[in-house]
Amino acid sequence: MSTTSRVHLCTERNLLALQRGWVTTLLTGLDRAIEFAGTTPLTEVVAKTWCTLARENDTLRRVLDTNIERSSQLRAATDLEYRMLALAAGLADLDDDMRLTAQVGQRFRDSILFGDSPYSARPTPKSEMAKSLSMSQR
Amino acid sequence: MRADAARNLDAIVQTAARLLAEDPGTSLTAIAAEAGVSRHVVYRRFENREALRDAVFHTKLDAVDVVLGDARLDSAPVAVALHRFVEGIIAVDRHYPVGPDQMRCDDEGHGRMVEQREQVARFIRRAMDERLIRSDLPDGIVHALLYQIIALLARQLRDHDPARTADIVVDTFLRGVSQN
Repeated sequence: MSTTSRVHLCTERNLLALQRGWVTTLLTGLDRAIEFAGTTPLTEVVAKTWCTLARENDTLRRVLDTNIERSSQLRAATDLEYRMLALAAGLADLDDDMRLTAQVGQRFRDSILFGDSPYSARPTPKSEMAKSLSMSQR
Repeated sequence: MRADAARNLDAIVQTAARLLAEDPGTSLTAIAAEAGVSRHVVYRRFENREALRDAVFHTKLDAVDVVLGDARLDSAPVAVALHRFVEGIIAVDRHYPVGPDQMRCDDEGHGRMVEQREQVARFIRRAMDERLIRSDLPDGIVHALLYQIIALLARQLRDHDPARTADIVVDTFLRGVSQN
Protein backbone atom coordinates (compact mmCIF):
# COMPACT_ATOMS: atom_id res chain seq x y z
CA MET A 1 0.00 0.00 0.00
CA SER A 2 1.46 3.40 -0.96
CA THR A 3 2.00 6.14 1.59
CA THR A 4 -0.65 8.26 -0.11
CA SER A 5 -3.30 5.56 -0.01
CA ARG A 6 -2.40 4.74 3.60
CA VAL A 7 -2.89 8.37 4.58
CA HIS A 8 -6.16 8.44 2.61
CA LEU A 9 -7.37 5.26 4.34
CA CYS A 10 -6.43 6.64 7.72
CA THR A 11 -8.27 9.87 6.95
CA GLU A 12 -11.38 7.97 5.84
CA ARG A 13 -11.25 5.92 9.01
CA ASN A 14 -10.86 9.03 11.13
CA LEU A 15 -13.71 10.75 9.35
CA LEU A 16 -15.98 7.77 9.92
CA ALA A 17 -14.99 7.69 13.59
CA LEU A 18 -15.76 11.40 13.88
CA GLN A 19 -19.12 10.91 12.15
CA ARG A 20 -19.93 8.03 14.53
CA GLY A 21 -19.06 10.29 17.47
CA TRP A 22 -21.31 13.04 16.12
CA VAL A 23 -24.21 10.62 15.53
CA THR A 24 -23.86 9.27 19.07
CA THR A 25 -23.89 12.80 20.47
CA LEU A 26 -26.91 13.68 18.35
CA LEU A 27 -28.77 10.50 19.32
CA THR A 28 -28.20 11.13 23.02
CA GLY A 29 -29.28 14.77 22.62
CA LEU A 30 -32.40 13.83 20.67
CA ASP A 31 -33.40 11.18 23.22
CA ARG A 32 -33.12 13.73 26.01
CA ALA A 33 -34.81 16.58 24.13
CA ILE A 34 -37.78 14.48 22.97
CA GLU A 35 -38.20 13.13 26.49
CA PHE A 36 -38.87 16.65 27.76
CA ALA A 37 -40.50 18.08 24.62
CA GLY A 38 -43.99 18.25 26.07
CA THR A 39 -46.34 19.69 23.43
CA THR A 40 -43.60 21.29 21.31
CA PRO A 41 -43.75 19.96 17.74
CA LEU A 42 -41.12 17.27 17.18
CA THR A 43 -39.77 19.03 14.10
CA GLU A 44 -38.98 22.06 16.22
CA VAL A 45 -37.44 19.98 19.02
CA VAL A 46 -35.23 18.08 16.58
CA ALA A 47 -34.19 21.21 14.67
CA LYS A 48 -33.29 23.04 17.87
CA THR A 49 -31.37 20.06 19.23
CA TRP A 50 -29.40 19.72 16.01
CA CYS A 51 -28.57 23.46 16.02
CA THR A 52 -27.51 23.48 19.67
CA LEU A 53 -25.29 20.42 19.31
CA ALA A 54 -23.80 21.67 16.03
CA ARG A 55 -22.87 24.93 17.75
CA GLU A 56 -21.34 23.05 20.70
CA ASN A 57 -19.38 20.84 18.29
CA ASP A 58 -18.50 23.53 15.80
CA THR A 59 -15.03 22.22 14.91
CA LEU A 60 -16.24 18.67 14.49
CA ARG A 61 -19.12 19.80 12.26
CA ARG A 62 -16.73 21.85 10.12
CA VAL A 63 -14.41 18.88 9.60
CA LEU A 64 -17.35 16.69 8.56
CA ASP A 65 -18.96 19.33 6.32
CA THR A 66 -15.64 20.10 4.63
CA ASN A 67 -14.90 16.46 3.84
CA ILE A 68 -18.29 15.11 2.91
CA GLU A 69 -17.93 15.83 -0.80
CA ARG A 70 -14.69 13.90 -1.15
CA SER A 71 -15.54 10.87 0.94
CA SER A 72 -18.17 8.45 -0.33
CA GLN A 73 -17.94 6.45 2.91
CA LEU A 74 -18.63 9.56 4.94
CA ARG A 75 -21.60 10.39 2.71
CA ALA A 76 -23.00 6.89 3.23
CA ALA A 77 -22.47 7.16 6.98
CA THR A 78 -24.19 10.55 6.99
CA ASP A 79 -27.33 8.92 5.58
CA LEU A 80 -27.73 7.33 9.01
CA GLU A 81 -27.81 10.81 10.53
CA TYR A 82 -30.41 11.96 7.99
CA ARG A 83 -32.60 8.93 8.70
CA MET A 84 -32.26 9.54 12.41
CA LEU A 85 -33.42 13.14 11.98
CA ALA A 86 -36.37 12.31 9.73
CA LEU A 87 -37.62 9.57 12.05
CA ALA A 88 -37.10 11.53 15.25
CA ALA A 89 -38.91 14.55 13.78
CA GLY A 90 -41.83 12.37 12.71
CA LEU A 91 -41.30 13.26 9.04
CA ALA A 92 -40.90 9.61 8.16
CA ASP A 93 -42.27 6.42 9.62
CA LEU A 94 -40.73 3.03 10.38
CA ASP A 95 -42.65 1.62 7.43
CA ASP A 96 -41.02 4.09 5.01
CA ASP A 97 -38.21 3.17 2.64
CA MET A 98 -34.78 3.82 4.16
CA ARG A 99 -33.42 5.64 1.13
CA LEU A 100 -36.43 7.90 0.92
CA THR A 101 -36.21 8.55 4.64
CA ALA A 102 -32.58 9.61 4.24
CA GLN A 103 -33.60 12.03 1.47
CA VAL A 104 -36.33 13.51 3.66
CA GLY A 105 -33.86 13.82 6.52
CA GLN A 106 -31.28 15.49 4.30
CA ARG A 107 -33.80 18.10 3.17
CA PHE A 108 -34.80 18.65 6.75
CA ARG A 109 -31.17 19.02 7.84
CA ASP A 110 -30.50 21.42 4.94
CA SER A 111 -33.50 23.50 5.93
CA ILE A 112 -32.12 23.70 9.47
CA LEU A 113 -28.61 24.45 8.23
CA PHE A 114 -29.61 27.18 5.80
CA GLY A 115 -32.17 28.71 8.12
CA ASP A 116 -35.27 28.26 5.98
CA SER A 117 -36.86 25.53 8.05
CA PRO A 118 -40.64 25.77 7.89
CA TYR A 119 -40.99 23.26 10.68
CA SER A 120 -40.61 25.40 13.75
CA ALA A 121 -43.21 27.89 12.54
CA ARG A 122 -45.63 25.47 10.89
CA PRO A 123 -45.37 21.76 11.67
CA THR A 124 -45.62 19.64 8.53
CA PRO A 125 -48.06 16.72 8.64
CA LYS A 126 -46.30 13.39 9.02
CA SER A 127 -44.76 12.02 5.86
CA GLU A 128 -46.00 14.92 3.71
CA MET A 129 -42.41 15.59 2.71
CA ALA A 130 -41.92 11.92 1.89
CA LYS A 131 -44.97 12.00 -0.36
CA SER A 132 -43.85 15.12 -2.20
CA LEU A 133 -40.37 13.66 -2.70
CA SER A 134 -41.88 10.46 -4.01
CA MET A 135 -44.10 12.39 -6.45
CA SER A 136 -41.21 14.47 -7.72
CA GLN A 137 -39.22 11.31 -8.51
CA ARG A 138 -41.90 9.79 -10.76
CA MET B 1 -27.81 -0.66 10.58
CA ARG B 2 -27.86 -3.33 7.90
CA ALA B 3 -27.27 -2.30 4.30
CA ASP B 4 -29.71 -4.89 2.92
CA ALA B 5 -32.71 -3.64 4.84
CA ALA B 6 -35.25 -1.77 2.70
CA ARG B 7 -37.54 -0.24 5.30
CA ASN B 8 -36.57 1.48 8.52
CA LEU B 9 -38.53 -1.17 10.40
CA ASP B 10 -36.54 -4.01 8.77
CA ALA B 11 -33.30 -2.47 9.99
CA ILE B 12 -34.61 -2.22 13.54
CA VAL B 13 -36.01 -5.77 13.53
CA GLN B 14 -32.75 -7.18 12.14
CA THR B 15 -30.72 -5.26 14.70
CA ALA B 16 -33.05 -6.49 17.45
CA ALA B 17 -32.75 -10.09 16.24
CA ARG B 18 -28.96 -9.90 16.36
CA LEU B 19 -28.74 -8.23 19.77
CA LEU B 20 -31.46 -10.38 21.37
CA ALA B 21 -29.70 -13.52 20.13
CA GLU B 22 -26.52 -12.35 21.85
CA ASP B 23 -28.33 -11.23 25.01
CA PRO B 24 -32.06 -11.81 25.48
CA GLY B 25 -32.06 -9.05 28.10
CA THR B 26 -30.95 -6.32 25.69
CA SER B 27 -33.01 -3.16 26.28
CA LEU B 28 -35.08 -1.32 23.68
CA THR B 29 -32.84 1.70 24.21
CA ALA B 30 -29.74 -0.34 23.35
CA ILE B 31 -31.43 -1.76 20.26
CA ALA B 32 -32.51 1.71 19.15
CA ALA B 33 -29.00 3.09 19.64
CA GLU B 34 -27.43 0.24 17.68
CA ALA B 35 -29.97 0.76 14.88
CA GLY B 36 -29.16 4.48 14.89
CA VAL B 37 -32.60 5.79 15.85
CA SER B 38 -33.95 7.64 18.83
CA ARG B 39 -35.46 5.31 21.42
CA HIS B 40 -38.71 7.29 21.16
CA VAL B 41 -39.02 6.19 17.54
CA VAL B 42 -38.89 2.56 18.65
CA TYR B 43 -41.27 3.16 21.57
CA ARG B 44 -43.79 4.81 19.24
CA ARG B 45 -44.18 1.43 17.53
CA PHE B 46 -43.28 -1.10 20.24
CA GLU B 47 -44.65 -0.86 23.74
CA ASN B 48 -41.84 -2.91 25.23
CA ARG B 49 -39.10 -5.41 24.42
CA GLU B 50 -41.57 -8.27 24.27
CA ALA B 51 -43.53 -6.51 21.52
CA LEU B 52 -40.34 -6.06 19.52
CA ARG B 53 -39.44 -9.69 20.19
CA ASP B 54 -42.83 -10.68 18.73
CA ALA B 55 -42.12 -8.57 15.66
CA VAL B 56 -38.76 -10.31 15.20
CA PHE B 57 -40.42 -13.70 15.51
CA HIS B 58 -43.20 -12.91 13.02
CA THR B 59 -40.75 -11.32 10.58
CA LYS B 60 -38.65 -14.47 10.73
CA LEU B 61 -41.75 -16.61 10.15
CA ASP B 62 -42.59 -14.42 7.13
CA ALA B 63 -39.09 -14.96 5.77
CA VAL B 64 -39.34 -18.73 6.28
CA ASP B 65 -42.69 -18.73 4.44
CA VAL B 66 -40.94 -17.12 1.46
CA VAL B 67 -38.18 -19.75 1.59
CA LEU B 68 -40.72 -22.60 1.72
CA GLY B 69 -42.61 -21.12 -1.23
CA ASP B 70 -39.47 -20.62 -3.30
CA ALA B 71 -38.15 -24.13 -2.55
CA ARG B 72 -41.38 -25.76 -3.83
CA LEU B 73 -40.93 -28.66 -1.44
CA ASP B 74 -43.95 -30.52 -2.76
CA SER B 75 -43.22 -30.28 -6.49
CA ALA B 76 -39.58 -29.50 -7.36
CA PRO B 77 -37.09 -32.40 -7.76
CA VAL B 78 -36.23 -33.47 -4.23
CA ALA B 79 -32.51 -32.69 -4.39
CA VAL B 80 -33.18 -29.26 -5.90
CA ALA B 81 -35.87 -28.44 -3.35
CA LEU B 82 -33.60 -29.55 -0.50
CA HIS B 83 -30.78 -27.28 -1.63
CA ARG B 84 -33.11 -24.30 -2.14
CA PHE B 85 -34.64 -24.85 1.26
CA VAL B 86 -31.29 -25.16 3.04
CA GLU B 87 -29.82 -22.12 1.28
CA GLY B 88 -32.87 -20.02 2.11
CA ILE B 89 -33.01 -21.09 5.74
CA ILE B 90 -29.31 -20.33 6.21
CA ALA B 91 -29.86 -16.80 4.90
CA VAL B 92 -32.89 -16.32 7.15
CA ASP B 93 -31.07 -17.67 10.22
CA ARG B 94 -28.19 -15.31 9.60
CA HIS B 95 -30.53 -12.34 9.28
CA TYR B 96 -32.58 -13.34 12.31
CA PRO B 97 -30.28 -15.45 14.50
CA VAL B 98 -32.82 -15.84 17.31
CA GLY B 99 -34.23 -19.34 17.80
CA PRO B 100 -37.84 -20.19 18.70
CA ASP B 101 -36.72 -20.96 22.26
CA GLN B 102 -35.71 -17.29 22.64
CA MET B 103 -39.09 -16.02 21.46
CA ARG B 104 -42.29 -15.30 23.27
CA CYS B 105 -44.48 -17.46 21.11
CA ASP B 106 -48.09 -16.28 20.74
CA ASP B 107 -50.81 -18.64 19.51
CA GLU B 108 -50.70 -17.35 15.96
CA GLY B 109 -46.92 -17.57 15.78
CA HIS B 110 -46.90 -21.03 17.30
CA GLY B 111 -49.49 -22.20 14.77
CA ARG B 112 -47.47 -20.83 11.88
CA MET B 113 -44.30 -22.47 13.17
CA VAL B 114 -46.04 -25.85 13.51
CA GLU B 115 -47.41 -25.55 9.95
CA GLN B 116 -43.93 -24.71 8.60
CA ARG B 117 -42.41 -27.72 10.38
CA GLU B 118 -45.18 -29.90 9.01
CA GLN B 119 -44.34 -28.76 5.47
CA VAL B 120 -40.73 -29.79 6.03
CA ALA B 121 -41.82 -33.11 7.57
CA ARG B 122 -43.97 -33.81 4.48
CA PHE B 123 -40.99 -33.01 2.29
CA ILE B 124 -38.78 -35.40 4.24
CA ARG B 125 -41.38 -38.17 3.80
CA ARG B 126 -41.37 -37.43 0.08
CA ALA B 127 -37.55 -37.61 0.02
CA MET B 128 -37.78 -41.00 1.78
CA ASP B 129 -40.39 -42.24 -0.70
CA GLU B 130 -38.08 -41.23 -3.54
CA ARG B 131 -35.18 -42.95 -1.76
CA LEU B 132 -33.00 -39.87 -1.54
CA ILE B 133 -32.74 -40.39 2.21
CA ARG B 134 -33.06 -43.42 4.49
CA SER B 135 -36.44 -44.35 5.86
CA ASP B 136 -35.25 -46.82 8.53
CA LEU B 137 -34.34 -44.25 11.19
CA PRO B 138 -36.57 -43.54 14.21
CA ASP B 139 -39.31 -40.94 13.75
CA GLY B 140 -38.14 -37.34 13.78
CA ILE B 141 -34.42 -38.12 13.60
CA VAL B 142 -33.94 -37.00 10.00
CA HIS B 143 -35.85 -33.78 10.60
CA ALA B 144 -33.86 -33.00 13.74
CA LEU B 145 -30.58 -33.91 12.07
CA LEU B 146 -31.27 -31.62 9.10
CA TYR B 147 -31.98 -28.63 11.36
CA GLN B 148 -28.97 -29.37 13.56
CA ILE B 149 -26.61 -29.56 10.58
CA ILE B 150 -28.03 -26.36 9.13
CA ALA B 151 -27.68 -24.51 12.45
CA LEU B 152 -24.18 -25.83 13.12
CA LEU B 153 -22.70 -25.22 9.67
CA ALA B 154 -24.44 -21.87 9.19
CA ARG B 155 -22.58 -20.69 12.30
CA GLN B 156 -19.29 -22.48 11.61
CA LEU B 157 -19.07 -21.37 7.97
CA ARG B 158 -20.04 -17.75 8.54
CA ASP B 159 -17.45 -16.63 5.95
CA HIS B 160 -19.17 -18.66 3.21
CA ASP B 161 -22.20 -17.27 1.44
CA PRO B 162 -25.50 -19.14 1.94
CA ALA B 163 -25.24 -20.97 -1.42
CA ARG B 164 -21.76 -22.35 -0.68
CA THR B 165 -22.75 -23.22 2.88
CA ALA B 166 -25.84 -25.01 1.54
CA ASP B 167 -23.60 -27.11 -0.76
CA ILE B 168 -21.70 -28.37 2.28
CA VAL B 169 -24.82 -28.82 4.43
CA VAL B 170 -26.64 -30.84 1.77
CA ASP B 171 -23.58 -32.94 0.99
CA THR B 172 -22.98 -33.68 4.69
CA PHE B 173 -26.66 -34.39 5.28
CA LEU B 174 -26.92 -36.84 2.39
CA ARG B 175 -23.49 -38.49 2.57
CA GLY B 176 -22.35 -37.96 6.15
CA VAL B 177 -18.62 -37.73 6.68
CA SER B 178 -17.71 -41.09 5.19
CA GLN B 179 -14.97 -41.06 2.58
CA ASN B 180 -16.89 -43.44 0.31
